[in-house]
Amino acid sequence: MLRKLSLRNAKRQFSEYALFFVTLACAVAFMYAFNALLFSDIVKALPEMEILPYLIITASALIILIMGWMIGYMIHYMLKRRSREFGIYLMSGIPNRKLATLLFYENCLIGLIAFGLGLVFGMLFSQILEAVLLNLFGLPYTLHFGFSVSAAGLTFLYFTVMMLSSISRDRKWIRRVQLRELLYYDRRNEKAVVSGGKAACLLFGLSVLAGCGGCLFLALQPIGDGYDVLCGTVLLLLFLFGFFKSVPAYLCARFGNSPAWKYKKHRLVPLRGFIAKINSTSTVMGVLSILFMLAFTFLGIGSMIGLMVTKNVESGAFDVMILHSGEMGDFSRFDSLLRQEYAADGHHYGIYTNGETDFRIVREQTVIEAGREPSLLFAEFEYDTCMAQSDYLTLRELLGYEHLELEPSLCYVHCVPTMAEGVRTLIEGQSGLECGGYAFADDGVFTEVFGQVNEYGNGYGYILVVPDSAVKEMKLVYSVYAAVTEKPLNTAELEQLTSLCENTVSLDRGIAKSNFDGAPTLFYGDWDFLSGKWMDKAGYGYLYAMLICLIYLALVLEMTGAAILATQVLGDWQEKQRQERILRQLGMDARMMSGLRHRQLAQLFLFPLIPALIISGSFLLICDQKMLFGFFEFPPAADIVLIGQSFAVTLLLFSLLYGVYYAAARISFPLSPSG
Amino acid sequence: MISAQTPPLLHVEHIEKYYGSPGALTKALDDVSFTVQAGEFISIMGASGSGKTTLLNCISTIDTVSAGHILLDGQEITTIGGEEIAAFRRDCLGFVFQDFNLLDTLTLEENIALPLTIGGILPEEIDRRVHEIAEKLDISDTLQKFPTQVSGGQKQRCAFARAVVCDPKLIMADEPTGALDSHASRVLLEVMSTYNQEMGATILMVTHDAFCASFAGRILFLKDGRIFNEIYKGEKSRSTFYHEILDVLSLLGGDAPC
Repeated sequence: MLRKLSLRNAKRQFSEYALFFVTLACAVAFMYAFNALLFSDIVKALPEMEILPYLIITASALIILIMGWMIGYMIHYMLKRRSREFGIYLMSGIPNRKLATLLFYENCLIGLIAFGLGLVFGMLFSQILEAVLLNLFGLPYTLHFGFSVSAAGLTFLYFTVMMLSSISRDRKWIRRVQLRELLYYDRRNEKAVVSGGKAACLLFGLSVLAGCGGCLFLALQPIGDGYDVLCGTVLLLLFLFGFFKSVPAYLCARFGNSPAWKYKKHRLVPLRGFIAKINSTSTVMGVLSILFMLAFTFLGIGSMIGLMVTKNVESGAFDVMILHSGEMGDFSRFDSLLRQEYAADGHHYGIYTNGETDFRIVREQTVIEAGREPSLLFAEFEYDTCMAQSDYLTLRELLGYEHLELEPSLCYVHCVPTMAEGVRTLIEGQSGLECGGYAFADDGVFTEVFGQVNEYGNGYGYILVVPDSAVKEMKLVYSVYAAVTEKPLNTAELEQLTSLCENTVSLDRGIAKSNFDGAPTLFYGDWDFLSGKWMDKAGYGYLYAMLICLIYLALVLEMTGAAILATQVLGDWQEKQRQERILRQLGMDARMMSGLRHRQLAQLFLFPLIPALIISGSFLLICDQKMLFGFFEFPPAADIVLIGQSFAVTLLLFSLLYGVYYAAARISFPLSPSG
Repeated sequence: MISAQTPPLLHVEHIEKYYGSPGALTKALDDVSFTVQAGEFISIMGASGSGKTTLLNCISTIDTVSAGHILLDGQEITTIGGEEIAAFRRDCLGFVFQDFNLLDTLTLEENIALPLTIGGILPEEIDRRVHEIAEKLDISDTLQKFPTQVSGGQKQRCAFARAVVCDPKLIMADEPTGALDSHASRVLLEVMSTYNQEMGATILMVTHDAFCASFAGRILFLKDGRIFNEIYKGEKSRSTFYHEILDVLSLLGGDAPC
């Protein structure tokens, strides 16, 4: 009998709280998919991914906490709504102990269904995730459906911890609860309808001040040494607490007593409904806001990491670059191998120096103007670097750039876009400026992508393009073989290149060797160093690992928050139906009713989101700036443009998932029968 | 005094209402016809299931008739459809229900103002009309309170104020005292009666309570979906009228008199 009842109740619960169960299943799917990465041989073989398992386990621990809270909250919410039903069971002679068992069976059944469903979707999602990861490394993906028992086991362990910890709390409560408590549970929890008060308005004002102060601290950083972030965070947390506690009373005082405002444009019902709802759920709204804030911040940081890596790889220009220090290297074996295996087209040339520092100073000024500290200089870039005009033209042709008619007796400059203004000013302002005895052309500054953002490309930030005869008198700093391949090279192919060509190693920008004169260099021994955009990309494995975990966290957090919000909305359907029936009797037409419903739903979905966006926006601004400062000495575009791009992508991704829940709530909301 | 010569405000003409499937039809209203003059306070009585609420629902456009015509101020209301129904209810009808039907999230003042805001009346005018009607119904002191903070009687007076604030042609009340104690019931009925006499409001009230019905000027008795009897108060005292109602009810053999 008890089992039959559990089964029927679980079925009913499933249809009433479909969004919650779908979210539970999605969480299982995500957990399985990310756990599958831990046990995937393909992922283990990827370079720089040693950190991934630690990150995923840490993220999973955080998710267990948050999802555990969500499950607990939702089960308790459903329990509260069913308190009368439980009261009737008790009146019918079912003892508390049996009722607790009934509830346990119900929730276990629901959990198992969600887990099973989640595993099926998880298998699918793990394939998508693997394909994305391999694509990041430029590796081919082959569709294969495999089931990882270890990943499923780990997911089950996480899921069981979450479910049991949540269910056991309610089980204890139902064992102790009195019949009267159940029958009047909904009344007991009714909060007084809010009315405006001076104290609440003061708290609201103070919370807004704290919010503005927090944002200013984070944005301007007036103190420095990290205290700004601490002060900013404390103020923003105070803002969140005060805001959600005082906003209903503030709205009530500000608008509730103003007939001229509230009686216009059908504002009355949505305004009062909104105030009543947030008054009764202010704590939940605060928690939701924090969830959305974290989700948006994680998504934003992930998006910025992705953008930085992409821009950095794009700025590499050449697919493969082989470097040789101090002399013109023999690159013939690379040339024949690349031409044969990868249909590559390449050219070798020298990077020279004239021993002057005119343009180096411009580079340093540009770096300072961009808000950064000029980094420790490598020995090869202490002086201005140069290349021959003929090499420059060949490289331009290789990259498919517009052909230039260069004056053979003049010098030109190719630099990163941020340096262009400074270089022009220098050429125009300093009369008699020359390189190797040749003057600079008046309009001779070019800024296409040319492999200059990272060190050891075509110069660092800039290169002087000088007549061929000029380089004969200059010192060769290093020689380069640059090639453009027909298709991207993956990690395995790059490794093959170093293994097939003797005396070749990958250029590691993380390890520098000191020189006799003090300036360090990346070159050591008589080696050829493999570089280029795909090599750079393969070196960012640890960033991809971070990116994946941040997206994982962001997805689950956003999904959790949106599911609670949608369930809150749908849980009010009986009250909303009653409201619509009354309004219809009072003569509200269908169009107005639809507008009202839409407005009320939008208000609830936007309310916890707006403070979250303000706070996470402030955090992101700082994080993005710091990341850009650390990653690019010469950003490929202005920092604010890159931050704007990252913010737009974050907003889009966030809105997509949020929109799905909004649409689901909109569609699922049962309309009251017309009449 | 209402003149019999003036055209009736409400004309109910041979209406019938069936429920159920073709094989198992239930006749809720059977050839019901009557008229209501403007300014009348009329009560409809009958046992449970006699068709009182069905009749009220058909007149208020909440339900449709299976046959017959209903004309309010010369306008056929059985054929009104779509968006016109909303406008019709807004402009011509006022409702009072047993369970008050107030929105708990609005103050009493806002509940009264609600139909006016739906009608797009200017805020200053809304404010004036709400306070005027609240003064008349003696609920001015409770205007800033929410329905959960006031008594049942105050809630029902608020519901009545909301029903009359738009000055509708016809006010319909369905068991308005059903959820009130005797004192609150009497206060509400006196308010309705005064409003009918002083403002000339036309009220159609469904009730099964003889005491409640005794405040009306005319009573229609329904039995099995048909009009069984009709009595007028005329110049009689309310006490005499009350006893007359009890006599009819005993003839009907319906609910025990209250």
